[in-house]
Amino acid sequence: MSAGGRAVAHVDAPALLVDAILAPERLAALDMAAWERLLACARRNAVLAYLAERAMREGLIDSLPEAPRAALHSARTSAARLSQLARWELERVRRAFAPAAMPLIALKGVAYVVRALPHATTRILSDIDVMVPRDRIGEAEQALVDAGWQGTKLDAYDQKYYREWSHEIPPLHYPGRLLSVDVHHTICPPVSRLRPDAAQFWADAEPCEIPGVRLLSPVDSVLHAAVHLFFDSDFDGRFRELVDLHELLTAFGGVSGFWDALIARAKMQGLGRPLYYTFVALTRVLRTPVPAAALAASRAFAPPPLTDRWMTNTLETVLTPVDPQIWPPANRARLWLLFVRSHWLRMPAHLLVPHLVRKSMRRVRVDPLAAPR
Amino acid sequence: MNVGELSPALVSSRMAADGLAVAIPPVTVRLRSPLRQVATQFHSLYADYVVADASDYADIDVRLVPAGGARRWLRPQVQFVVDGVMPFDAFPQDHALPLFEWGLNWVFSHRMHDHLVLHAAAVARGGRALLLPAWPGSGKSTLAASLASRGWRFFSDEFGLVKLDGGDVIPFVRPVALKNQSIAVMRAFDPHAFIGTSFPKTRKGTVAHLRAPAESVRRAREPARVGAVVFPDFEAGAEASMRRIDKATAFLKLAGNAFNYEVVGERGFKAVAAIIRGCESYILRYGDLDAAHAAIEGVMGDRA
Repeated sequence: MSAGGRAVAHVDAPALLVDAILAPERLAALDMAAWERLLACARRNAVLAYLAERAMREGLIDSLPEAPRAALHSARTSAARLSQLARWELERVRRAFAPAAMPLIALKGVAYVVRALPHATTRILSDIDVMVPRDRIGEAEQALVDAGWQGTKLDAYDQKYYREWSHEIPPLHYPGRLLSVDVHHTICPPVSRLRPDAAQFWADAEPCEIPGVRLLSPVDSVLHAAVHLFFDSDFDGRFRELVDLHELLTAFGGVSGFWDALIARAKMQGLGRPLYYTFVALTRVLRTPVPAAALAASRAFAPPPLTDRWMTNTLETVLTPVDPQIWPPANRARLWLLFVRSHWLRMPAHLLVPHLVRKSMRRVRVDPLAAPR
Repeated sequence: MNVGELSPALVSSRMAADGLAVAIPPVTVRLRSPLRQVATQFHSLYADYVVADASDYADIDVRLVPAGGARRWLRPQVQFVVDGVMPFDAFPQDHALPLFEWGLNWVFSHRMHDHLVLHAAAVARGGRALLLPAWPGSGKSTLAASLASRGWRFFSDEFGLVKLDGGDVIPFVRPVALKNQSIAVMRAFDPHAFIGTSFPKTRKGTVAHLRAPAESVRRAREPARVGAVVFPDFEAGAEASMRRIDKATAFLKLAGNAFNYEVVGERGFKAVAAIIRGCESYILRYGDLDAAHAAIEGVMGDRA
């Protein structure tokens, strides 16, 4: 085995990925072994198309070596198609809701697409998320079913879980279409200790270029992403969510008054803790330039010092990109569950544990023999 | 250096350690596995492929690892791992090589969106490619393999990889996965063909891999302009008939055959248009290979 072969193993791919995202101009200096590790790591963490977008924005993608350039272009093309489908699916939902004048807020990925945020077309979407008023969620579901969407076939356990413990109804899927629709009535599951007032989100929601569709205000979309980052018991894809927050804060952070409004809103809605953790994770993992005043203000939401120290270390461990070369993978998912369990959920433990076990047993697998789409 | 120039033992030890990186143009694949039969079977099927340096860039990084759990003692299984993810359920360990082939196809089809990817076999002669677009069960693998054994340059039995600028086809030369009766058909058609281990009782029945011709592997970086598009339609006992179809019909059939037509968008439309404008398209019904070859000579013969 050549010395070069050993060099491949010694690349710190997660560090390389963070560097490449923050300073794409460094891509020009990479050797081919580093490229291989970088692209595999970016793919594993669902940010390959995002890396391509960063390289495009810096105007250097055309100067990259042929094979990595092809991989980046391919990832970008495929993610861009998903974002196009998301916009189209949102339009279909809007049409289904229009006769009943159902109020509609587009959330997360599809909202980033409508806002034309630079990273919006790089996300690997599998669904679109929309919010409707809580007292009309049954009507919203029926409107979609009447228009041809179908509910997910769930067993009694899952039905019960969704209806009782979730802030959304089971995903709706239109036969033959790639993206499903998730209908929410608020941004935090009722199982959580967080109880923001959904009426406030509606009050501040902004119109957009699509008549009849509204978007969360910039501060609320950051808070939603922050809650989501820490909420999902599914550990995979956390780094991707962190990148979303990095981009949201980069896009909105320059607007005058944004940071003060963000802190004030978090306090008012009782979402200070997730915002504090978001700042901790972002500054440690992605070196996001959060203004010193905002950082200082967010410390008011910090937990007691001992918990704070444990949490801060855990967050950095868990939210750093996964290195796909390490096989079998380190079980960071377990640490994540511990974290989610201990800090956020109010679902009773006798319900929570079986739920998490079921969830972990149901990893999505595809059939290599089926024709790809 | 080619895979065949390494000893099976060396291939096995490299696969068990840092992996063996092999150029399978247009990609380089790094394969790691502690399973000896994977190394042995790979060694014979990929003998003519160039070994990349361990420090070279690999586009696709695959591990075939024995699955854990209690079943490993009773019915050993194998997992396909790509970039640290296991996209598929485990396969029986005896089927590790078919799993590698199918898994590689799956990964490849998800990563080639800088091309239009057709579900097509392709061969070429005299610098002109014959594109055979069809869904599984149409006999395109066997037809392409039989043409390759009669001197056509083999491109692929599965992927018609089309450049988005101009519509030329590029090879993705791999072993041909022959299924069930096709194995005997190819043995009879070309007694000298190298066909590897038979894998009975896979999800697609019995599968055996036909080694791609060495010359086709050697020239796997040479694209070709499409000389004819022939949609094959195998039916046991059918008389061979080659029917020309109009360009609008051909366009719709070819675009509808692509894996990623909607993903690549306008550039895919233009690539399909360039192919359809540049040559004639046909539907070939056939019941036996010799008659199919004669019909193909009829439309491609003047190009040789």
